[in-house]
Amino acid sequence: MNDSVFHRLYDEYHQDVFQFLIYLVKNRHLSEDLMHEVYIRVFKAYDRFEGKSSEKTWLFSIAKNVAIDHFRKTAVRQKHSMDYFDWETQQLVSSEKIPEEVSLLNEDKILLYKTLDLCTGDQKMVIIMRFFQDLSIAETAEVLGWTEGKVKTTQHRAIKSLREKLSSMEGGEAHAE
Amino acid sequence: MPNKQWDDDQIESMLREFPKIKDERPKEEVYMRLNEKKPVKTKTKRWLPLLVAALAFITVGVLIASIISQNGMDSASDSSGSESAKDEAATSDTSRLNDQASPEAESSNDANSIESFGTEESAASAGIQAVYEEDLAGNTLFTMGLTENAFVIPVSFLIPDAQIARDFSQENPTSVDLYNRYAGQLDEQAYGFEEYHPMLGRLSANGRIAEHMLPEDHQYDLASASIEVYTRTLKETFKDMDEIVVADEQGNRAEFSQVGILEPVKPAPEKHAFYSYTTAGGDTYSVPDYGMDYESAPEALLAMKNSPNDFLENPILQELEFEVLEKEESVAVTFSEPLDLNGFDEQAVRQMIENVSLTAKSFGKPVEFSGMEQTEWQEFNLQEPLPVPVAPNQLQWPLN
Repeated sequence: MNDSVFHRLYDEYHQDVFQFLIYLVKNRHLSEDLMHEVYIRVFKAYDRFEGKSSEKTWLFSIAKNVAIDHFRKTAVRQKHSMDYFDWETQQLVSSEKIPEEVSLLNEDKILLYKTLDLCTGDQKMVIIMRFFQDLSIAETAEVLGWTEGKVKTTQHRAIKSLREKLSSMEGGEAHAE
Repeated sequence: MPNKQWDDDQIESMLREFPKIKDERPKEEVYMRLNEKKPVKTKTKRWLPLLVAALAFITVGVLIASIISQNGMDSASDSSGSESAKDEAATSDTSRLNDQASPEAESSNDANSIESFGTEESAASAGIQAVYEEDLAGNTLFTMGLTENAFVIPVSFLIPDAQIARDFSQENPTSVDLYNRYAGQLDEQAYGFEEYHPMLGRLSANGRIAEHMLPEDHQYDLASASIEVYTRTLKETFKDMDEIVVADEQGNRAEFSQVGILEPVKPAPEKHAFYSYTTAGGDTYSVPDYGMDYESAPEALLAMKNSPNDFLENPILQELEFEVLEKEESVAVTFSEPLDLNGFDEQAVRQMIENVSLTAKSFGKPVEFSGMEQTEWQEFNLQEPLPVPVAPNQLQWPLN
């Protein structure tokens, strides 16, 4: 591992990528582990990084892949409940709890965040990138390997889906007036 | 009550107001973990230690059988000999057993070193030391049993309390909490051990009773040596538990082939002698000979003069002679001839001191040496009883 590369990547992108992961998987410890995996994959592939995309979108695309791999593994494990001892799954189960930073927000925002889980994975991913991470349409397209048109459409559908889901929930219990 | 009206613009502006979430770990911690981790984790071979355990058991069984048949006549003809002659015969049997076992052991070591290490260096730093009371200030002790060649090697980690506070909502997490949180991160092969953790199944604790729920296809009962490795590992890893109940997926007590229903495993302290054990990676650890329990500290300490097998070495420098006297408050070890510690490799001296201390500790006493030319050696004041180690074999934290 090249130390100077680590320090530069850390200084420029670490917190952004970590935030992306924790908004996706909710659990801080798990995000730390996934962040670690992101670095491992980054250093493995760093020599082959050709600069076709920006370093930032390249890092986010690796983080996205790491997170998706995690969700895939968890899904497989849940289907086979007698699989390996799986503390990561336990963490994921306990991470039904939202991140502490989100729990301090008002009820509407907490509900909004929880409702994201009801959207499709693609929609959730686009919302997190576009709104929480402040990535542009072009950057999001690069990270996901999509056209910009597909990002716009997915974002539009995600907002619509959130509105419909939120509106259909019982107002009184769901959020403060 | 009418629903609140949500509109797209409002949702978008709320989404933009979500807070920044930061990774609170210092950069150094992220770096350290990364720097020590193997870039590519090799595929876990969970069956390997189980198989090694099984083969070790079979090999020893065959050797013992052949030696008994070889020596049966000798012993019979020698039956009129004195006690001491019998002892000598027993000793020579042991050494022949060792001689015969050693080529195999070496080749298994070689194979293992290729398997585990490749081109990597061992992650354990040169010179492994025990943990002492003063090391615990600001740290939480996390012990584990790791395995190699069907041996269980107890190791210790000191986790900074700040990290514990960050990783756990409650104070003083139990060994089960620590295990569930950290065992998955441990790269045993980087330390020169076989892949064994995290163990299959699910671990939980209720007070001081832990439960290990095993999946049906676990192979911890592949052979009696595998069972031994499994129960030893539980004992070394969950030392703060009164017992560990091993259960099947239905919650019933697990049934192991060969032994039937497995009794709860109790990590209560046992009275063992400690020896030096060197892994394929070349690091030397203090390891008890689990196979033997002793009645008294002198008995255990004197047993250290003889290696019980090829792997557990006599940790006494140059196999020097010494006497042992058990006192009320301590165990006194006196070398027959003046011993100049400066003439020896520091790690070998430490191994001797700590193995003797650990052995005395299993009888609840500190050790005091006499017959050494030095009055102090490194942090040890040799004029008074030595501090009692809290746990053997400290490995560096963070886990890599």
